[in-house]
Amino acid sequence: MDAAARPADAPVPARPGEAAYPGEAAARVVRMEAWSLLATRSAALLNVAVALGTGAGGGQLFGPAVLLAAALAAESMLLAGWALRRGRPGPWAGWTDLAAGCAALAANAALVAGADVHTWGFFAYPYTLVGSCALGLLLPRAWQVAAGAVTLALAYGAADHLSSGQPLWNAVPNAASYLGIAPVVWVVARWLRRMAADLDASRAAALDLARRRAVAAERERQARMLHDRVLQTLETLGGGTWVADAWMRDQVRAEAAWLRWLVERGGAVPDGEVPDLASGLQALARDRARDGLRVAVRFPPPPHDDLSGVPDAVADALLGACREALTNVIKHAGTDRAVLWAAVEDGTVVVTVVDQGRGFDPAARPRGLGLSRSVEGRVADVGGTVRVDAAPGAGTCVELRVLLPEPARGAADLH
Amino acid sequence: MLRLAIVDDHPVARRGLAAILAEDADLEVVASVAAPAALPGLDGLDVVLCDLYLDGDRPAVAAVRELSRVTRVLVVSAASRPADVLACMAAGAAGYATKDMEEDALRAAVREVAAGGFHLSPQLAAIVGAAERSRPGGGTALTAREREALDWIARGMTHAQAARRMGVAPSTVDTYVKRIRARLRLGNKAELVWFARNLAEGDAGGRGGPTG
Repeated sequence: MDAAARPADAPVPARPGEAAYPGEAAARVVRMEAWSLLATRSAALLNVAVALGTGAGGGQLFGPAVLLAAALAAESMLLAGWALRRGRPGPWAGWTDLAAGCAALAANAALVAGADVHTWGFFAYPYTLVGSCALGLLLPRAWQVAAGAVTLALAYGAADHLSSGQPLWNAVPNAASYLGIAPVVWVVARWLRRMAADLDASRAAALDLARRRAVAAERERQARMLHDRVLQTLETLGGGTWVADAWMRDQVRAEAAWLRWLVERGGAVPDGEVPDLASGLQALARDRARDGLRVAVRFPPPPHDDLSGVPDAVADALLGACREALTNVIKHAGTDRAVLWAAVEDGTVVVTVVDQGRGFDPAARPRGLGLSRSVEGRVADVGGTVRVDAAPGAGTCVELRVLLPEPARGAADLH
Repeated sequence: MLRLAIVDDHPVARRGLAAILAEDADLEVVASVAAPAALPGLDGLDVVLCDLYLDGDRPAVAAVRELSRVTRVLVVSAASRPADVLACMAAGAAGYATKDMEEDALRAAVREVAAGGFHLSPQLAAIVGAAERSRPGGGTALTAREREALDWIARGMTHAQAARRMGVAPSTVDTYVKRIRARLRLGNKAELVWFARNLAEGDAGGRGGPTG
């Protein structure tokens, strides 16, 4: 079908590339996390810059302090640069950053003397405090983030105590600040990631639904065209005497019946090696048409026509049994018509083969040989039962019933 | 001699139906038209064979109701939505036949309707049975025996075969079928709505297919 022939309002089939929704919201959250990392680290380094500026005349070990500051700047930019270029780093980055923070606290404490620990000279404190946002972004688990924050708090307390000589409790208020930052960042980041995942999932579901609707609409449109332009004509030719040769007429009827079945199921050609029960019955009817037996295949309205839950082994057994039952019709019934009917009722698949031929007396005849072995044997093998109703001159009904395994029971059971 | 009219928008289908009916010398097709309005007159017509979808998609329920006031209507369709078929039965149609049915069965259906009877084809029996099963709250308008008869007829049995299977006289099955028809005629609008809803929901996978 070329594009010019397509009506303007016809649905456009989905492109194959759209098959998997890329998770756009999740990607945006990763990006936002990387920028947050850059922003918090920049703010932390601003503290360092102010400290170096005000502490320049303090007569400290200025050179080593600049070196420490440079190392912190390098580590921060490496971390933020990685996140921006390559996405969210793994937990290793969090643990590395934690180690770097603790080392900075220790090194800085060694560079400042006594009371200067509580001045700008101890810039590692504000730096690690603001920078600890990274722990919440980089460490995936709550306990990891808590452990990281506590480690920083302990490292700060130890550095303060050892360097200033003041009691340990004096460091508690400052140290406690660490406990608030990383956990809050972790909670917010986790919440955002979940929201993004939900959003992506619902977008993917909506896209998938739209695509399936488009496919179904296109199929239905083509099925309608087949129906209106081909099928009615084919069915007419299969009846009456338009086609002089009876054998050819039967072929036309059989093909028309198959096409009708296809069109009525929305044009979906069954795929897979093993045909499902419904298409297997259709194929059987077409086969039998070649032997001169007209077989009508019927299914009840939905949901009882849903045979998709019938396991392959059961479908095989039922198809084999039906083939034999139809062979019996050809050999013994003296009619060229039969009706196949299949449904799922109360978790049981039921198939009947009905003819209105000459029938037989089940009491007088020890169960048609073909019937007992090939039909009952096959159905019994899959745990099913066979019931035969027949009377002389009044046709035959062979009913096959197989209880389906629990998980295979379909929507038909809801009633 | 029974006088028949065919209303179908598909010319090939019209011609095919006419040819099948012409094989019986007792049946005479006096009109074969694309729309009910084109019928020359309804006087003296015994049966009108009316396509279910005359304009492509909408069921011809109104046309069936109009025609049923003055004559007997046998709805003939290829594919169909179950709810549309039920709506036509409620509108007074005397049966539902499908275009792929055996020729002799179609002629028998026409004679049955002409005689004032009701043609319960296997397809219609299946539709009514499915609608019964999907009734809200599990209530039922038919007796268990009537539903059983529906099931056997849906599977392709004659009334006599169904009667033997059920262990009753064939005339009893005839009575069931009459009651089923009466029940369908009484079907009010609210019931049709749930017929339509329940069947349409089961139909949601695009299985409705095209109509005609």
